[in-house]
Amino acid sequence: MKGVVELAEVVIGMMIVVALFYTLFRSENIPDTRPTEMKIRVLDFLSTLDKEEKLANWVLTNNKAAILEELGKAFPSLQFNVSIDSEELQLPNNAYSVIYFIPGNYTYFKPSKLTVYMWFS
Amino acid sequence: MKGQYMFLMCVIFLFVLITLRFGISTAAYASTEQNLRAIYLKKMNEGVFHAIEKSLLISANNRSYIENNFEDFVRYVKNSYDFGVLAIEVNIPKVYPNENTTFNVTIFNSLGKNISNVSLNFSYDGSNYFFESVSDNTSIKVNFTFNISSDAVFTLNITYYSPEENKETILLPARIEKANFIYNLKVVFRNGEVEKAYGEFGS
Repeated sequence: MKGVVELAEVVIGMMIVVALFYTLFRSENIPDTRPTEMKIRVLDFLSTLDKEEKLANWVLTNNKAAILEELGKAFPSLQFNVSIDSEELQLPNNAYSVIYFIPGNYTYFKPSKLTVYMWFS
Repeated sequence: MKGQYMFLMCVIFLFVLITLRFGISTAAYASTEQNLRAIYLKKMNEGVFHAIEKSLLISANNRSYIENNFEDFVRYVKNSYDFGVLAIEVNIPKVYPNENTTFNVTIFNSLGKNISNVSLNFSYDGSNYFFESVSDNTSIKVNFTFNISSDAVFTLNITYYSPEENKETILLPARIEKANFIYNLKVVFRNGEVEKAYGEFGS
């Protein structure tokens, strides 16, 4: 009887060790919150540029370089590309996007859609 | 007896470990992600609403196109983003004392469904219009007339069913030697969020 109890203790001890390793080193599929966080921050940034009356002018003149430069300065850890009015782009698979609508500026009415694509470098 | 206590302790220990790993952390992350998505959606809605309102303001210098520009912009955004809008726009031309002023009221329905039994009542003389139905993505236009010798504020009462009853009372300030554009917007977003705005700009 004593032998059986000792054997059970050894088995349980091994189970504890295995469970501990499993708990510590198992790669679990935890949702990555970084993309949504970055989308919120980029959306806020675009809204600020729009309030400063810069974004509408850049979009209307198709000045993507200016938009990319501002985004790059504000978010150095991200890579960006932008499309105006649903223009097609070559993008990496891990890119995600934010859209921003612009009716025009105070001298020119022209509905436009800016899509900002971003991915971690 | 000692072995049984040991066994019981082990079972409890394992249970706590598994609960910690599978229960708390994953749920916490999932909840954070869900909250972040809700924040993102709210900010997107705010951005779209701001752009819709701005489409009216940027047309202020070209008053004969305000309503058309607004409708064009709403249709443009709806190609990429799901929402509904009901807009009431009042375009009052320059008012001269003791002369008849006829102004235009536009109701643009883009709520994604028809609205019915639409009635408009103007407080100046009680004149009114009635429409049995206004289809989705269409607008109706009516004219009202007033004659004043000094600045005045009128009201326009609008009732419609969608299918529940809705009532809007819009203040219409009329100022001598000035034109005025008044708008009342109701935007309904996919997540049930509703944004409203009343504004005016003159010249």
